Amino acid sequence: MIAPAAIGDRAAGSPAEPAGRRGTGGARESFRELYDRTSPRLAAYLRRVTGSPDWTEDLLQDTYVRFLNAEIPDMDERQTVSYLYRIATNLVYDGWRSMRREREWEEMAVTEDTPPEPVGLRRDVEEALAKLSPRERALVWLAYVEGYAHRDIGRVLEVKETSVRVLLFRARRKLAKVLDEAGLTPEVLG
Amino acid sequence: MSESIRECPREREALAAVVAGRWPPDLERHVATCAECREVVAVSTWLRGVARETVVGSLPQADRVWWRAQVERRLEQRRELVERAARPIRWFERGAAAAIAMTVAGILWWHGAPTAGAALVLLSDPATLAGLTAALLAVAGWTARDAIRRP
Repeated sequence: MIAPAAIGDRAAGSPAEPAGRRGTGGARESFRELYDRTSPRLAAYLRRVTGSPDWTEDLLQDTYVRFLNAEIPDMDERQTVSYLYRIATNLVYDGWRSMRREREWEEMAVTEDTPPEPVGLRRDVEEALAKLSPRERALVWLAYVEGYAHRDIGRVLEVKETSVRVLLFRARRKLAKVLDEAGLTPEVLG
Repeated sequence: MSESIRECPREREALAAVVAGRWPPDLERHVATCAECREVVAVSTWLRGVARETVVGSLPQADRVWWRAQVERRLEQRRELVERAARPIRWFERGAAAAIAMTVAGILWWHGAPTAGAALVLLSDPATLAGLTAALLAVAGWTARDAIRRP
């Protein structure tokens, strides 16, 4: 329930110590529980924001390694998950910055082998999401899949809350238009 | 070009209904007539469907991630130790350089007048001046070549 705190509670170290330094067996077990609870959601986020399955796996590992070695205070479950998303998003940004051009990355993401997904969905999804910028993808995912409030999205993406409102509105409008044009609008009611 | 932001106060409610899959009749009627809420519902329904269908091949095992974190932490600790161990050596080098410079300055100050006089006598001789210039150029060339060769 309380990830880093739970790791800290069972250990000899102080709460401000890196999560990975606290204790041994108990801390490891706490981490395993946290990882099993959060990693599938975080992986889905990374997969859809980056568009690359291979990169997703690397980023997922790096996110948790950075989390384990970070000096963080005790946090509740929601704060922990939010912190993980923040680390993951920063790693994605770092990755993009280190690539010479974003287009190169987009091409790589499209041409890479992807794990099997339901026929008819994958290409539509990839094409629709590819029309959004990476930040727009992160915005709509955090807002409409994770259900984050503007303030929380701002913390994860390191953007002002007021800016999130504007950026999210534009991203949502853009995605709605893309879905409409592609005939992907779901039957939402009745 | 810029589009004004339009929001509906019931957007969060509509999103919550998508998550819960339950639609109170008044909210359902509202969404049917509110373009903003309809958009929120359409986008969130689609995205949540994508999230459900997103298959991420093989996730790394928690233990593997745990041990990688331990290894990286130990490597970082070792780097810090090396850095800390090298610190006195660097301070010693700086101190030694400063001591040499101060000694040379002291000697020059102590023998100031005779040294300056001797230097003037030497530099007034054209052959000595030419030799000294050649030596200085050779040292400068040698240093520049060394700097260029260094990766």
